[in-house]
Amino acid sequence: MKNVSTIVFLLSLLAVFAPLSAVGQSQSENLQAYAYGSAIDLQGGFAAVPFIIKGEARTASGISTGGESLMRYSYYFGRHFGIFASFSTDWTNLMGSDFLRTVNRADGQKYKYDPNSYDYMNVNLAAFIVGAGYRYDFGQWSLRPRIGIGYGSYYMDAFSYNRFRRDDPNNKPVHIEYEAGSKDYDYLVSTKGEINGQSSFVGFAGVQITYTIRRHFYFSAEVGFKCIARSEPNVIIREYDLESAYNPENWSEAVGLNAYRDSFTYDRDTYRTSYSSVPATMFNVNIGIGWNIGKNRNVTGKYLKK
Amino acid sequence: MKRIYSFAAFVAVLFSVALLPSACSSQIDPVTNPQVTEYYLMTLYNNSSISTVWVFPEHGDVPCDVAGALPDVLDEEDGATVVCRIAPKRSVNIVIHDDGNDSAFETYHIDDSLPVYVFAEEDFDSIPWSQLKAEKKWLAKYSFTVEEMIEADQWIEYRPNS
Repeated sequence: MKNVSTIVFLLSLLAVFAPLSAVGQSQSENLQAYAYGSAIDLQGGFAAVPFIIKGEARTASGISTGGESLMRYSYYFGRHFGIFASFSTDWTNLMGSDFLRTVNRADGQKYKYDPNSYDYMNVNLAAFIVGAGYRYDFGQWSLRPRIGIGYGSYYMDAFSYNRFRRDDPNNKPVHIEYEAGSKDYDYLVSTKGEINGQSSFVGFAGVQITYTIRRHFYFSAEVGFKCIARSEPNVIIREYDLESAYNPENWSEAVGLNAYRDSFTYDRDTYRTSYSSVPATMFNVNIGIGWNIGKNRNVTGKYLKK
Repeated sequence: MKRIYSFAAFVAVLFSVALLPSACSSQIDPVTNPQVTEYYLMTLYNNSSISTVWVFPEHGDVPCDVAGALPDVLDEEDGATVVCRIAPKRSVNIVIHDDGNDSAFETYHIDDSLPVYVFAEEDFDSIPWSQLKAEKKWLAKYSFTVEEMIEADQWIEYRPNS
């Protein structure tokens, strides 16, 4: 998964910059007024995080969706090249039932699932990214691809569910928990409750298109891609067999503990673990507004071709 | 040069803001596997105008079909036979504690019926126990299986002429 993410990231850079390298050789003289120097972007939009589940029958994929907000400062040294720094927060929500739909496909429809909570699973990322950008202006429009690298903090909600065999209801159900960021230490009885989140390097590639309305103000739209680097699997998956919590030994317990008739308790002797990874890629489609702060150094004709 | 310094300052501010989420942690409640050490069993309600005494005899070392007979000698303090005094229009909640002392409730098997006798407190205190038992001078006698008690929402009510 890590190699696939890297390859997709590099291909997206190639797709963005290859056509522009040809375009850059035939510049029109349409220059936007007040277009150089600093620019501030505020954007918000849609985020999507694909994920995969390796089940007993196959590997199935799903997608978690949400939003992004972004602030960016760019500085263009001249007509084309510049640098930027941005801070973005991405949040995606996935209903427990939608996650389990993917798990069900991966397991081959052999089980029925009972989530311990129907709350949303959230995957959140806050990232600071710096990088380089290029701009190509044509009339009121401007095309601005960017690449960058930065550092971010991501967080994934813990999620757990019980799993029952469809073909054998009397078979012992299994309890499964996903928890990101935790590790098992041999000197601790339990590490549940440890920090659920990690920091990582983040790569970014994106293309923004802007439309300048007046001297400074513009609308923008952007598609982008973030890739979270990881060195090791960081989601711990815990499994326990479950046994019925209703085991009355006499009349009194049969009445008083009746509320536990459909409840389960953990068989701790059956504890087992495996590992997976937090989803590594995040796609964004944003719209926003911006402000060209810089002074138009082209007024003097400095950048006009003679 | 001034613009580069401004840009660097801006970068530093944004970087420190971005690190804030990594400094936060969320605590997840650890999975627990609680052992049930006590539980609510039932409520006894005296819906009459007189004080009553409720007696739950223990199962005894006898076959289940003859279990639940009133003891020949009644000792309110021995704990095996449960004796509850309830004032008029008052109720008592029975909570079972896992302290190793088996009460009458816990001597009955899951398939048994739990019996309970309701006496008038005045009779209970003035008439010898053997006479009370021999003459069957109880106001009411109830018997509940597990399912019947659950259907009754764990509530036993004494009402005159019921």
